[in-house]
Amino acid sequence: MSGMMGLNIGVNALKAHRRALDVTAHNIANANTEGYTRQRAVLSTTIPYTLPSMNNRKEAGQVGTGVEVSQILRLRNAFVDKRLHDNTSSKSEWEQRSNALNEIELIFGEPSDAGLRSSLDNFWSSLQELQNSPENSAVRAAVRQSAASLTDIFSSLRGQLNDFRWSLDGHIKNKVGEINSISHRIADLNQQISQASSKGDSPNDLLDKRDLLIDELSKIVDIEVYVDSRSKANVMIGGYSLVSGNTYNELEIHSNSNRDGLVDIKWAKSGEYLKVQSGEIAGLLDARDNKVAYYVNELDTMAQVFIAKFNTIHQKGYGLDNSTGISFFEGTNASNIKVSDAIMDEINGLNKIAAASQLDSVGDGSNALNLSQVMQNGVLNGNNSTMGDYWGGIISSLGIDTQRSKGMTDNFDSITQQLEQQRASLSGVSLDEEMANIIVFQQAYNAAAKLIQTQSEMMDVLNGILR
Amino acid sequence: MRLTSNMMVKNLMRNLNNNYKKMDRLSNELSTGRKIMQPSDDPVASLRSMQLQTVIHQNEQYIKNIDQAIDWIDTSESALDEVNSVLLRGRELAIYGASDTLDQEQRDSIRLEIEQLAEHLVQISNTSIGGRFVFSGHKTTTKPYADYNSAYQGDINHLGVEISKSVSIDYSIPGNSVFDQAFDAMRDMINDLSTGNITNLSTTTLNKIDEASDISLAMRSHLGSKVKRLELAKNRFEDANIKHTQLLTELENVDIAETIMNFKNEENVYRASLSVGARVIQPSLIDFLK
Repeated sequence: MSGMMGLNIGVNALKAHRRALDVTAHNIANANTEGYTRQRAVLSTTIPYTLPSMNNRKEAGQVGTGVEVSQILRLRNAFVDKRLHDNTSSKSEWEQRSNALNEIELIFGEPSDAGLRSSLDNFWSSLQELQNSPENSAVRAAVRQSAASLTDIFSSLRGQLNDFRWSLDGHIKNKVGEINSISHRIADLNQQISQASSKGDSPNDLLDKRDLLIDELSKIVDIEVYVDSRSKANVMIGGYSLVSGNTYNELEIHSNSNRDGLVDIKWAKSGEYLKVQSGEIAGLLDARDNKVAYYVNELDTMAQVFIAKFNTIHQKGYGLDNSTGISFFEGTNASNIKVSDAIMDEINGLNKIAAASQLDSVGDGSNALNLSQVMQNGVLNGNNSTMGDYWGGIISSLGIDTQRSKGMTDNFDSITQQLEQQRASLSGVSLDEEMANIIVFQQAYNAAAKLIQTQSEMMDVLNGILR
Repeated sequence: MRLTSNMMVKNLMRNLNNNYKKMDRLSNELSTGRKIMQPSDDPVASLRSMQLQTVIHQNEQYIKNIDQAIDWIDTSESALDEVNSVLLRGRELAIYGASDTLDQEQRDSIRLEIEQLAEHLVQISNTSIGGRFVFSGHKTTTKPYADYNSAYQGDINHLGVEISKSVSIDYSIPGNSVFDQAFDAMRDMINDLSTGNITNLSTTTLNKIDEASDISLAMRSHLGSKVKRLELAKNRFEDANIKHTQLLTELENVDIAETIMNFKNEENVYRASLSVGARVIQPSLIDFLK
């Protein structure tokens, strides 16, 4: 035991507290960095010095040798992270679904005075007017006009739904690109992290970057993350490995010719379909393949039934020119429904609207009444629902569906926020705390310096004896 | 729980945002006057409002249908009134002409007046509304009678109109049911007067005139009873629409007073959270370390 040892303890203490101050500085500097995890210098005693002796010593045995920074700890809870990933995936999925349904609501634009409902109503009343004045060409023109408005609404709704489906498809393509880019970066980071940790370092900032990427990934798709013994994060989607150590598997998009060229997502290597449970991609796929497709189908059903029923009755009636057997509408679904060429004919079209039930009956509007009743009688849903009822049903179920999606989004959002709070509570930088630490470390540093000074003065005393 | 200033700022921002959203929603409601912008705002009310709008629209159309039918019937009734007065005058002339104190010259002048009456009857039979002949059955663009000697040109069908869902009512009278008899009686009168057959004039022909008059009266009261039914239906629709419109207003439209109150409330909360936020996030330990 020499007099130099005290000096050494002092120097170590200076060093350790400088390092602790550096860590504090890093925390303060990154207080607002996204994904940053608070770090802490873990101070611990160095290996104590045992006074040599044969048996029992007369003095105290082990003497402390000072302090060192044994590690720089990253304050992070993997359990909260996992729950956060799961919730983020679900939240993003519902968010996409709810956005899509909201968009469909906007497209349908009900309840309003300019939607399909009001078009049906207007067409109905134009036919009722035709019943009142079947020989009046202005009334006939009004019937043709409101029929054209009705077909316009059908095809415009259908067209907008179709456009929306393609924009969802484009969105899906982008998301696949994002997954590929993120998995590439995670694999790169895995390599750097495993190199650093094999040297015994804790690559805290690289880990933060990787966790941030995993957070982003969990937004897009549901993932399973497993960190192996060499600190490499292995990421799986639906049981299929996306990132494994330093390598990653690419996803590919294939446009499916059986479905108008909408894209399928497959693993590039095996050609298997990507299986997703949640995340933005799941929401987008559901919106594109189920929600939008459902409403397209409903519109088509309505248009198809309407065309068939209306034409059957129209064909039984007689026009002003005694024409009969004429189709009023043409087409087979909501996208190609239109008023037939015979009726649209500029010279004789109006006369072919079959308002009468008998030959040579210009004043007879009884078939016009029958035509108007196509909109008042049950023609859909097993002849139980009128066109208007059916449309009302579609709108209210859309409303309920949207409401539910919004509710689910809000639920997952509040859970996610709570988990983010939990994470921030552990990992976030508190400036107050760091300021307090600065003072603690500064004072310890000052004290250590004083220690060295005292040691030096004690040496001076000894040196003075020799003089 | 360990709290950091960033957490507080985040919470504050989220709460401010929520308050702002609520204010936005209410201000939207106030500026549009509508509660339901999208079905998801209230799916049940949306459906209800769509149904009500259709019902109101339909009722309005039924009212139009009824008005049109009433107009037609009114015109028919006044035509039948005139038919009756023509026939009454014809009857007076027939009785006068049947008197054996008159000579043929005098009978000829009576005959001339009867001919005028018959012409007038032709005019009445050709009564039209907006170019549609009232007494032609379904052949509304064909004159029912060209003159008092010609045959009926229309058909025997009635015009009908829907006056409420699946309930139709006939509102026209095919001209032949009234005018064939009347013209027949007029022709007989002219014939009897020109041939001086006063026995026939005072018996068979007079009976014919009475019969024609009876028919026109019967038709008139038949139409009159329909007007009552139509007016009842119309009143019902008008009443229903007042109620439906009120319901629709309650469903769709904003209660301005209530919404302004709510808005004011939200505004207060928003202001409070702003001022609290400004106090809470400002100071830190840094402010007190010297």
